[in-house]
Amino acid sequence: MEFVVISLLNGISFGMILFLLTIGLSLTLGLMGIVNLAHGALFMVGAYVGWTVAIQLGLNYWLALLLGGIAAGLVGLAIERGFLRHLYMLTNEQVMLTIGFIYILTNLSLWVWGGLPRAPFVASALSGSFPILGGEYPVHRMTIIGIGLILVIALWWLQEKTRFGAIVRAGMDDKEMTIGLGVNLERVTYFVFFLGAFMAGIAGIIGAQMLGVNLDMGWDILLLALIVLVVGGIGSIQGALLGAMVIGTINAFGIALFPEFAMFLMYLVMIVILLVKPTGLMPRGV
Amino acid sequence: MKKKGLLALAGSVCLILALAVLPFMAACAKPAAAPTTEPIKIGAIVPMTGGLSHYWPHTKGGIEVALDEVGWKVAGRAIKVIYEDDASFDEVMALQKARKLVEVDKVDVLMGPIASSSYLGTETYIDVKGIPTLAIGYRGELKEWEKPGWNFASNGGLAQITYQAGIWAYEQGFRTAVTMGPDYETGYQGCGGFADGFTKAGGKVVQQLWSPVGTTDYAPYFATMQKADCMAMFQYGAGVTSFVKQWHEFGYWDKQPLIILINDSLLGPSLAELGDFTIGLHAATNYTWTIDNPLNNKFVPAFEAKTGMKPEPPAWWANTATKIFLAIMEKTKGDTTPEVMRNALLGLKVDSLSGPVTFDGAKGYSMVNGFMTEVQKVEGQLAYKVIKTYPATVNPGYYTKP
Repeated sequence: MEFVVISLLNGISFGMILFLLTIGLSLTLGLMGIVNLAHGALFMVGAYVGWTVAIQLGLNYWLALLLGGIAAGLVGLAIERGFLRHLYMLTNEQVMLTIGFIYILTNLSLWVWGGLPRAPFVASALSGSFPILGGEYPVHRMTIIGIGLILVIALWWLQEKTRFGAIVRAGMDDKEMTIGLGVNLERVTYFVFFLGAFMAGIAGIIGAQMLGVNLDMGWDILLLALIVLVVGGIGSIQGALLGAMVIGTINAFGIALFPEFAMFLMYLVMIVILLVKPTGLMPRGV
Repeated sequence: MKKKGLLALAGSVCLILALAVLPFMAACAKPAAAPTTEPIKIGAIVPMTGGLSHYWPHTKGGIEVALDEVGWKVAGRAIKVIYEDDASFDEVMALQKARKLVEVDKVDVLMGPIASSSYLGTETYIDVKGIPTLAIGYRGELKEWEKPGWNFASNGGLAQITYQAGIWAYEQGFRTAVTMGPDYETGYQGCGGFADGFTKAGGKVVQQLWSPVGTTDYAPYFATMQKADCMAMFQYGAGVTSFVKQWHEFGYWDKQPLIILINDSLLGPSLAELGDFTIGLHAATNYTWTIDNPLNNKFVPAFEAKTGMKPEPPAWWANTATKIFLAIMEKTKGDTTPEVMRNALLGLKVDSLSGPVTFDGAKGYSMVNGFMTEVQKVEGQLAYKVIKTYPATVNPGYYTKP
């Protein structure tokens, strides 16, 4: 029982980080058709900026969360405005460009923050552990689940219940028709790209509570985010959440039960989904 | 007449032969060429980018402080160092850089690389080219170094240190242990050495956990972990700080003491970031800046003046490799012929910052001192303090995944 509960919590908390990262990737791919592989690097940028604010400057953790998100959002927007907007519909070029940006952002981070891996950091209010089934569990891991759920609801509300969300959905379905109705879709796409990159930055800081901050984190997490995207489906908040929970939980139980095959299990799930339901478990419905 | 003709013919042949051989004889009779005064070139392949880039100031500082001490000259020849980056673990880049250093820069000796993957990328090329290469960092794969080729382990082997940590753990009263390591060759040597030492001392290893390289979330492993008196952990890179933090957060810190099997991935600044709860943490190592001996007491301030930081194990690795190079050059009187250099290295003994480093003359790896350390406040900062020294003895063995 203890094993099942702890593994489930581990899986959900890690899955929430994957969700926060993947949702931006999913929206930009769904609305703008952009494959942004630098999304993992934005996760890293957010984490480093958050570390500077919270640890180096000793400021409030929640301020670090906000500033890390904004920094990643602005870097993402600069990449989109400066480069990607010239490459719409050119998938191969987008992939090459954004892979290049992973290297650029990683080396810029090396110059700014140095190569030393930074230890995981949490808000002082979230440090410590609570007793559970004869063991202890860190408070911040439960908080990750809580923050993740709040953001799931907020994003769902934004996409499904607001005029802005309706424009985004309309833009995904029929770009020309949406523009024809007088909507300034370009301005919407700026915001969606910023929002996606902002979420990656937020994910980086929240993830740093568990994983720390290092130069390889952008690469390491990108692969998992792409698996989540394939499993969950593109352009859907529910899909990203379901995919992240499936992969997070398989990762936690896989490591505990079949450690040598844990990574293989995630790929296996992805292959099965690609064969059985290539659009993912919950793609955005038309 | 016939006899006279034969004599004349023989005389002519002798004369022709003599004339033909004369230039060769003259050449042979020339005095030996004066020793070259060209600078000796060292090519250092070290991580400047990627997961081990924080080693870069330490490796550079370690090499350059050693060269500062001799005025960047040995046996009358100037020394030049050319640094190249292998992006930490990139075996293809390491090979490209080795080729560039050997074929374009024409270096006389190579130093590095650090990571096993980079070593494996360059190993065959170095052996084919016959360039003496002094590794930077302990090696996990000593079995390949039993017979000396052209790669030499300047800083000993991983299991030499972790084996002693196993003995030390038993001496502390621990009777059962769990080990945690990365799922590849170096991990098997690191954890295998501990398990061997601990078992031979009388303890029992109840579980050995293996994680993929690059793991930073260890919580799923904790869920399946068996109870034991201690946890012996070996890991490389960013995962170590995460592991230590998570071990504390999940409440194991006091229940199941942690032993870090090698401390080069948990450097002083990381201890400071983790905080004072790390006081009392034990780690095996082959260098800490707090070692108290005349060589190290001179080195630490010189290193600090050059880099602005305290030296960590990578500084010792690089410094030791450089001192081995200098000792070779002294022995060969500046002769950089590869075979001459290799012969000079075999059987060499060098005084390093942490004690003697010895090549026994028959093997490609050296023997080095090992230390058990404890995290304490030293000069107002968290640092590893030696609590037991294990003199260089023998390589304990080679280990495979159980």
